[in-house]
Amino acid sequence: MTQPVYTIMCVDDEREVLTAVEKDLEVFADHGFTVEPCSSVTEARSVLEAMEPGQLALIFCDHLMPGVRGVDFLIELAQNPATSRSKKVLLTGQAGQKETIQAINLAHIDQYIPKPWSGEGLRSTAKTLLTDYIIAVDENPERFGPVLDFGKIMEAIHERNL
Amino acid sequence: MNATSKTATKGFWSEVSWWRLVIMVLPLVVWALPLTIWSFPMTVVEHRMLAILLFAIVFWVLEPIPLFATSMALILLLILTISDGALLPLRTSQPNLGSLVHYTEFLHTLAAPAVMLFIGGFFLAGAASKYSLDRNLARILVKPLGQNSSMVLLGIMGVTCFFSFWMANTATTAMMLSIAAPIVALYAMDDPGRVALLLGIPIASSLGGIATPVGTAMNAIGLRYMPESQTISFLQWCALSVPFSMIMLVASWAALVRFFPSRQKQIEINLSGKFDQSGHAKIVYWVFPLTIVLWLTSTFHGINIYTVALLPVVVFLSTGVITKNDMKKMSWDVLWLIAGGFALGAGLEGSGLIKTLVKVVPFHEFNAVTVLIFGGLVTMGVATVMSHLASANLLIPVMAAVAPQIQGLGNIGGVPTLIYVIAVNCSLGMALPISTPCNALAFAAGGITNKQMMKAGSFVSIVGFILLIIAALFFRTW
Repeated sequence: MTQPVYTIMCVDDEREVLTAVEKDLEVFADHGFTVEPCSSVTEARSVLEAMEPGQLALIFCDHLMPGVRGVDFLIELAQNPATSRSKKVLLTGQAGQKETIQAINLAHIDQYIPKPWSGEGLRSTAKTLLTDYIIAVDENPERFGPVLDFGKIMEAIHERNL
Repeated sequence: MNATSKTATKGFWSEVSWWRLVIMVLPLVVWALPLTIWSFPMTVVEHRMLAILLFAIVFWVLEPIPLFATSMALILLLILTISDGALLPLRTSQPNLGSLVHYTEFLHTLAAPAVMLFIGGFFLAGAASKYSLDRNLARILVKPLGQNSSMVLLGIMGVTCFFSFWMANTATTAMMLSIAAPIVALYAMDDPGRVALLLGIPIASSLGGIATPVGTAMNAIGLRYMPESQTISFLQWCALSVPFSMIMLVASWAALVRFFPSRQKQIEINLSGKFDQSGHAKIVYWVFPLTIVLWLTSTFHGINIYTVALLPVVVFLSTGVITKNDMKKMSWDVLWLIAGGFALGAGLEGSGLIKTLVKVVPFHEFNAVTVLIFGGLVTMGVATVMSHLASANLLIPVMAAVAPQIQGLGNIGGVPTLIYVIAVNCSLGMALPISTPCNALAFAAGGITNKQMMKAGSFVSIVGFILLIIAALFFRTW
């Protein structure tokens, strides 16, 4: 009966992007989330393999990378029951119209953030999406009250117990 | 969310230590000990009951499994070991077996009157919540409070307290914290006024729960153990408890304002409610107050409060106000937890163990007021560190059995006075974040320290205890 842990993943082939995102999300890492930077889809897959189903709460994924492209990886996640509910964000500067449509229709991405991004914007997106995810999957969402949307979590707890 | 568990945030198995495991096998050790080593005579059935009682204590205190799982395990164990439906080898007659209890005694606890009372309460609160009656009413009541921060605090605490009269404490706390979240956000993170607001809500919620028999399960358990010759009506309970709860609310507010003076003197609140005007919602607006009136006037029309509780159930189900899906969201775990406690009580009585134990301890030599004060303090201590409901499950049946032996209790209102004090004290243990799920929810907002919660919580506990004893001794309504 130990409490589930949650991971925020960031996949990008540029080291500077990973470092910047990791820094932007520091506040979540201080409050019970693990932030996992991956420099390729291959690396992300092996990290994912070691995770429990449902552990991936949120993923920021670039599109144009050597090897597997980001949108294809996100579609893969959407089709896998262990990650289908995870919140998916496309964080990219170069996705064409066709890929973007695919990302919405097939990967059911929750947000598209164009590069360059602002740290504040990224944090607020992460806060909203993580709050929704935690409310949807966790038995005791209140333990994330300090870092997520406290009012929304309380509202959900109230609604869960009619 | 698990409404009753306390160690949920820590998890028992994540920190298993050898002494916990040793304690967990204690009930089995007692079970295996021969009857002859005890210094007082016991029947075999009583001896088994003693082991089960120990199991209940150990599992409700340490929570290796959820509280409601322990409850169901109790019902199963009681039937398998001390009932006439027990395993065959356990019920074949042997010298000194004692009397087996009819197995339905244990199964019936799942539909005990107090459980029905709570189902009625769940339906009322559930319907109010589904049609946003609770949130809208709360917003409208909070709105005209002005902008003075301490008046806003009083208003929010008052509304919380009032809702908690009728709704579960945890549900009320979660609702009020969600309504207050935008107000909380207006304070600087280190403003003591923010702490006062966050602490005020769970405190008001626990205090409000005391006010009516349906306010919290501990009250219903208390009513269940009132002697048949001296039952306490809904109105009698409220007549004593509502003023108690109000006075405590004002005292707690004054203390919070003093302990945590707000730096921000003006708070602009921007809340609005729009009442649902659908047919279903209107049914809720009528049935809710009607049920309350019928509860309060039970002695006049003769329908007991447990039957009145079926009214909202029948009306809401037949009109579709509450659907099958809504029913699934209700806190059935709370009902099962209550049932397990009643089964334990039935076992203690039916096996004869409680009578045997009462004979061993010379309760009749104790003074009534001493027992009242000592029993109350022990209850508060227990309820501070473990689930309020589990505390009531363990302590109230025992106190109810002990009560008739105590000298001079008749002079201070008899058995009901003692049970009342114990039941209310279960609600007053609120000094720690783990004391109640309400505290845990407020604590989850962040920015509150353990020390701050202990300061406010122990103030309410201590002042509440003193006032409670005075109320029970001098102002009781029976």
